[in-house]
Amino acid sequence: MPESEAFESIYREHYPRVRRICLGYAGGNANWAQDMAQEVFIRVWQNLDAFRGESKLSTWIFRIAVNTCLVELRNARRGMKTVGLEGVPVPAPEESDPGKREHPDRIASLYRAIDGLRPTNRTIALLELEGVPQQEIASITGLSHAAVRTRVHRIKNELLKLLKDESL
Amino acid sequence: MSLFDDLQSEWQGQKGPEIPELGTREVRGRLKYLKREARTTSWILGATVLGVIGFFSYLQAFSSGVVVLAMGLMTGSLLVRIALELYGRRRLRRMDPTLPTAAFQERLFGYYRHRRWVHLVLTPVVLVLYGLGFAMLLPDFKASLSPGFYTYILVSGAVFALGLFWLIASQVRREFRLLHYLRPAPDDAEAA
Repeated sequence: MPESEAFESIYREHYPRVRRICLGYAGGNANWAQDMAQEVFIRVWQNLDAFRGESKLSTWIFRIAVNTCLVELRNARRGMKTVGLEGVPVPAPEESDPGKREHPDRIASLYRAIDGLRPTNRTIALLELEGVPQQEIASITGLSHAAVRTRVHRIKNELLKLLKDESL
Repeated sequence: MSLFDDLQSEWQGQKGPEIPELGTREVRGRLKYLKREARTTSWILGATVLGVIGFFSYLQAFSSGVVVLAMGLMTGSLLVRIALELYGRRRLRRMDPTLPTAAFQERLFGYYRHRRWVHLVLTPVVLVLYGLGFAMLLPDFKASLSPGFYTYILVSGAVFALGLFWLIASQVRREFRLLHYLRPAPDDAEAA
């Protein structure tokens, strides 16, 4: 079994990003994403002893996060579509960075757009939004770097088009 | 800054809840619960099988061969369905979550494809055997029970069958949707 302190630090460092990835799979439903994130860290704990350091720890955790989310989709209450946007966490005006423009509706639309993507593209979209380098996305997904690069370009255009269509 | 960069910064700036203070303790607690649950399930299943064996030994001494066969069909088919379900969950739980996501998705797709066989072939067989067992018991029920109680058994049997059918149908529908969702896209093959 892994050391508790080591696990605590891994949990604290990776929880926010893992939870956002889970949100992307839960169509923005905060409660469901929280359950998914807990399931992810259960698997991290179970497998931590087997981590050999052949990739970055974050790469390894993102793999577990995405794979767990794919399994957890079976618990979606209303099929593959967004399970309700009432839980979408949008930046609170008084707490967010004043330099950033806020578009809460756009985040909700983004969840809907991500919901419509095929599994691999959904994974790539979420990791790209997280700012994960494309080389690392390739390692997480098992696709070639060139394939990831091409897809990122296509997915970005697809997402932007969907968002534009929604705002019309 | 491009529109996507803008979107990316909004995505990362989403305000979520604080990191759960007792998060890691909850993770370990849940893991203990899951282990306990697996142990309890094994005990319950073991006790059920022993109970069924005992019940049949008793039944064989006092009932006709038809009743024993009918009860055997009903309990046997239900036990087979439960065993398949537990096997499926165990298989899903044991899939290696550290695999690259494309390989994991492929395995998950294989799992749901296997489940389709369970749903389309084995489950109908189980349901037919269960219904057959129930139908075989009806003449005995009619001969030995009051008309009111016989009607009650007919109605409750039908309600149970409908409930079971609905439960299985909703699970099948959900898994078929997942199977469709996880199917390899044309660009998945060329990208690896």
